[in-house]
Amino acid sequence: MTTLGALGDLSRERWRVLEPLLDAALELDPMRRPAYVDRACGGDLPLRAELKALLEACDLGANILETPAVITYAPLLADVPVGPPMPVTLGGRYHIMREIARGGMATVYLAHDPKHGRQVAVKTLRSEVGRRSGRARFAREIEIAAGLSHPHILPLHDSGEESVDDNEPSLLYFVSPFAEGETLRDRLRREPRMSPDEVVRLGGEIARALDYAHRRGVIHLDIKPENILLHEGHAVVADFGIARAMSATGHGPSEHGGSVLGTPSYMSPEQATGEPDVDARSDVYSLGCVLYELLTGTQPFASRDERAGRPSLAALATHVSDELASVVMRALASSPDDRFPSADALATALERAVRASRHIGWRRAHVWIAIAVMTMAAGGFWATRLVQQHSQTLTSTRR
Amino acid sequence: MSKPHLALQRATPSTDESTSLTALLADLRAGRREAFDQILPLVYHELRRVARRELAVRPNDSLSTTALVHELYLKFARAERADWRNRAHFLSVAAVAMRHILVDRARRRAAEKRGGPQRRVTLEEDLVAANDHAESLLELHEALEHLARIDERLARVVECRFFGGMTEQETAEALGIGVRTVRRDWIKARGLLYHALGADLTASRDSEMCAGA
Repeated sequence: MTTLGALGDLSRERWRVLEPLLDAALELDPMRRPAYVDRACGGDLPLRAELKALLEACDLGANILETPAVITYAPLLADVPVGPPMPVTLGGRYHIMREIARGGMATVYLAHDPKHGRQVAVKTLRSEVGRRSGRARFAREIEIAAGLSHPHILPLHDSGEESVDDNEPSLLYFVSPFAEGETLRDRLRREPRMSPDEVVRLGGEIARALDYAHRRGVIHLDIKPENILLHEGHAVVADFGIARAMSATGHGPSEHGGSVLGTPSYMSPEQATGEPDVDARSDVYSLGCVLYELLTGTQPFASRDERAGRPSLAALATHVSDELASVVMRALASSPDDRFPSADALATALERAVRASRHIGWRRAHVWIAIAVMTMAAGGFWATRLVQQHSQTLTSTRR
Repeated sequence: MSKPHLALQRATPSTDESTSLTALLADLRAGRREAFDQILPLVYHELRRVARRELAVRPNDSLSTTALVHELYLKFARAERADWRNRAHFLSVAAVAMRHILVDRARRRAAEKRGGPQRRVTLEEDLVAANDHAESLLELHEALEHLARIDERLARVVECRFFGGMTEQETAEALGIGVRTVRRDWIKARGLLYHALGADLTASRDSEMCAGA
């Protein structure tokens, strides 16, 4: 489009000349437009060029701006600070100090609890606990979760509902001890893959915590790296009971697949399809997804559409023992019956796998040392070739 | 219609102002264009609040402008049993308000990017997406200003259809022109914008696909 300058160059007067011609041309079948342009513009070559350029632009621009701005520019709107300013206190007791973390729907604040003179973490979610039945179930789920006491479970001290503004959904809050440290997600951002030994240790701690809760009838339903805290090097599972309680409000993952709380990438197939009898094995599956991600740096199922295809073992195989890989893949089985029957069984299998792989690890270390020596000796191009060949041999012998 | 100024009042509208909305909309319908500038701040404030609330409750859903605007309208309507004939006019004001909200956000984004304080965002991708969107929106806004200088009505049509998510019928009613004219104006306006922005608009359509993911 070189014949007509930018829009700024088109004057109001020129547009008055061009517009009726453009209107008339647009009325015509596209095939008949060139002839019309010739006829209407006659010998006025600049006019002819401008009209042709405008017609072309109308054609090319016919599909732009079809999606309303609010959807096209949703990221800008999402940037609008969420909600009214944070209340200074929650439940008439917790003094909000600062924001610690913010997710899609939840915000976590550091707060002071003057009653016990301690710092607490307050997680807030916006939701309506409208129906009376929902309210009762919400309270019951929270009560059960608050009864959990395990070294690898973040305790739930308190919870409540606060109405901030009549026009806004009320604010649900959950109070836990404030633990210094990062989440598994933060850790993954710093270091996309973790050593198999560390994954097995943390996985074992999470699995034991899950098993403890499962035996008390509490299923987590939202196991993901964001919900696992690392406190002094140990895993602490947060948000127990919140997903279930939130389902009472109509937002929970067990009620519908596309929920705001459950994260599709970590949801078991039965949970994603909204089956009513989701049991402990759903958490086993989600933990399997987390372990896979910790080992490989990628999620086994990037999106729910890909559920049809299984993630490959090959991604795990290069630096993970066969034993550990098969434990993770069994936890990830589509059918609950093909998974470990309990989180305890998964924990035991993880420990067994690491004992077995320690033995193999030594054997493999020798191979790698040999490759390293050859690499240094051969140097440059050939070294690279050798390493490639060796790693291919390694991979193929492992299959 | 006089060009609404961008320096908007941010203060919460008092109830006095809010109850006069019906009267203002009636004025607007009767052709008293100053009413537009009086309504805009009210709508801007409310629309911003509704959008914010919607995003807080269901951040992963794609919002529908129409749904937002209707909700907002219903709120006003309930408050004062507003005349339903004012609806299209109300929608057109909401469309302008939406444009201002977005431009406002995009400008702040652009300013932050130029070295001001960078707000903490949960995901890096969010930041990139918002920056890209800010740039493309500001370009579109500028092109739309040019368009308004050449042909005011074409720009109004873009505002209604794109920023307001209004149908051809609603746009026709709000602007007091025929549906056929709206259809033709919409083609011409997009042609001129495409002419001015070309590849940039195509790019913003691509990123909109990603934004939905």
